[in-house]
Amino acid sequence: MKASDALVRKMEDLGVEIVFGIPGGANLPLYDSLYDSNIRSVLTKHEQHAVHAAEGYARVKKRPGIALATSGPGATNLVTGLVNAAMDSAPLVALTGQVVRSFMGTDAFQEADIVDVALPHVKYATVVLDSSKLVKEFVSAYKCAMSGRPGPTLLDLPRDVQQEDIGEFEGIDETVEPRFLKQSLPPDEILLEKAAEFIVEAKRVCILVGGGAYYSDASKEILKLAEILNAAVITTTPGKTAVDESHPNVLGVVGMHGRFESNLAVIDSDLVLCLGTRLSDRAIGPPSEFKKSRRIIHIDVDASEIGKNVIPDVGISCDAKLALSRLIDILSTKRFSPKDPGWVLGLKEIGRSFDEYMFGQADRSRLSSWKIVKVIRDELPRSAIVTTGVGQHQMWAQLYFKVLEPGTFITSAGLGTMGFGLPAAMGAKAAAPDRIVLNMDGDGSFLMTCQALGTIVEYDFPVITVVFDNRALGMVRQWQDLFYKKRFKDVDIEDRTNLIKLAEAFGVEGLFVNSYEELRIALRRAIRNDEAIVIDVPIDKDEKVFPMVPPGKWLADVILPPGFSNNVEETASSPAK
Amino acid sequence: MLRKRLVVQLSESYESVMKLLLLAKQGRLTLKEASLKANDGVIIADLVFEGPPEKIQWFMLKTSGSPYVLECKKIE
Ligand SMILES: Cc1ncc(C[n+]2csc(CCOP(=O)(O)OP(=O)(O)O)c2C)c(N)n1
Repeated sequence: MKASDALVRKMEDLGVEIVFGIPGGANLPLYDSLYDSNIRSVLTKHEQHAVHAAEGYARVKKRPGIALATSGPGATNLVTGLVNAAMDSAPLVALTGQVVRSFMGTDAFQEADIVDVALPHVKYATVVLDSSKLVKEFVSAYKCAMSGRPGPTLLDLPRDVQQEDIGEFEGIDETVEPRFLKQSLPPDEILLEKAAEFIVEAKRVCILVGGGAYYSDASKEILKLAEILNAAVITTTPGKTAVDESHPNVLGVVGMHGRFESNLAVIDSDLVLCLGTRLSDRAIGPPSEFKKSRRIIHIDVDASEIGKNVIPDVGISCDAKLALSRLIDILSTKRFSPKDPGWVLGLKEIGRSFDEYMFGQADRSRLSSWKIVKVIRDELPRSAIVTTGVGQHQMWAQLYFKVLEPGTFITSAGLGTMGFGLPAAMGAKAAAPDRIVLNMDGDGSFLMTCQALGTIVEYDFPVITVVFDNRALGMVRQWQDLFYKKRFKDVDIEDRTNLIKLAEAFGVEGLFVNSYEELRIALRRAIRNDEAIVIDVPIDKDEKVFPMVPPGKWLADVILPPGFSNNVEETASSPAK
Repeated sequence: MLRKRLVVQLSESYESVMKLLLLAKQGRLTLKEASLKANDGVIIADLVFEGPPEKIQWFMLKTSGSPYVLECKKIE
């Protein structure tokens, strides 16, 4: 049997149902094997789309997405998506074609050393030089992508290796070595006991939820613990998707563009329990400030994350769900006076008054982004999946789009990759064809990968795109406005690309809306008919995303919208009093 | 600053050696000495690093979690 036939058979066995990619000279044997398979292969317009789509798929299914590319430029086009997946701990496997073994190292046509390009960022990458090991390597790469902390893996497959006859398929040793399956150990009981002691002593507990909590499926335990402790649940950007944000204890995203009340919760807390997060500066500000007046408990499946950015008072290397259920058990054996429920209620009240203030602002010449997000949330079913591009619109989405079911918010958090939204939405729709998928995009981000519209039509992945169209690289413009004395340089998009005609050129309906009502009507129709549409919504390029904590500053140094009370210290202490 | 000797057992491939050094670079450790020996399908890397204690600790945990690494031991 041909090695690539055996590979495809094994992919089927493992439950691979779809792959995204582009064929070329070096991966033709693999595509030829796919010809006879039930695995659906989606021909994307660019390999970057393939890898983002694989990530979108993986984030919905919680199992690896597969991206295929030929050697050289095909493989190098995957790089942004691989790094994106690594930064957000998303499981995927990239299979790249490579020139034949005898040509490797000769600067042959379309030869690129993709393994070495990807190696700093992926969990595992290797060139498969022995065709009899191809299946085994795939199983290892597939399992490795999912085990422990998820992430991308890559196998580089010389064309002649794919092509080679490997004899009987059944004879292949497919056992995965333990080193590819570094499993999470049960939590250390002594450390859990210590953590429980600190929690009992604390007065105001924050639970900081990271993306790891989503993969660990820890939502139920998080909310249960929050109820026991009257704790404030706040999230990182990747963690936003892990909990139902309508729960009374959940305040929302924290950090540079976090919700005001979430940042206040951290400032005012005396203990933060961090779950499945790398504690990036974007979420917590300077680590020294974060640690200053509160105890930190850090639980993460990746032991190397504990103490990397913040040295915790207790660090537990374990899967979040596992550790939390044990922690809840231990706490149930302890007697402690209930924590003040008024604390979270007070913070929620601040959040409400912030929202009221924002929604009360009169619109200027254009629609207001906050309200657009709110209209989208109102119209979408609970189970709808939202993806985003990168920029102001992404921050508006994270501030104002309430996640109602875990797994429904997909964004490029760690790498901040413009152009992620549309292909990721396509992958999400492939994973969940019965659910509505909506991509909230910026005009700059959308124009980076808009050709994915063609694939969306061809393969019938009806995705709704709402473009927050400010004809600007809004987020960069905001930084130039606030920190570079309004010296706007290369941030205003002067061209008048007609996004409606552009959508139509790909066979997708394009619609310009100029009021919230028009937006509602357009969304209702697209949702009802489950159809692809690009809705172009004009917004003001001078609109800014607030709250904003300037880079390198502590959460208390937040910039609030002009006119809203800036007395953070005072407000922070009031809810607890 | 701490000076530590680590002995790491790796699977026998160029990638495993490169990943090891890339992780050391990512941890901003200074490599003081290195010797590599391939034997029976395994590479033994004997390394001396200098760096802040928490970075060395991070490096050890990170390498221990890597699929390229069979074992990572602190010697002195
Ligand atoms: C691939 C890539 N290039 C550059 C950047 C830097 N960057 C961050 S936000 C941004 C502007 C995004 O513009 P747009 O998509 O229109 O969103 P807006 O901020 O206007 O909502 C840029 C250029 C990036 N994040 N990604």
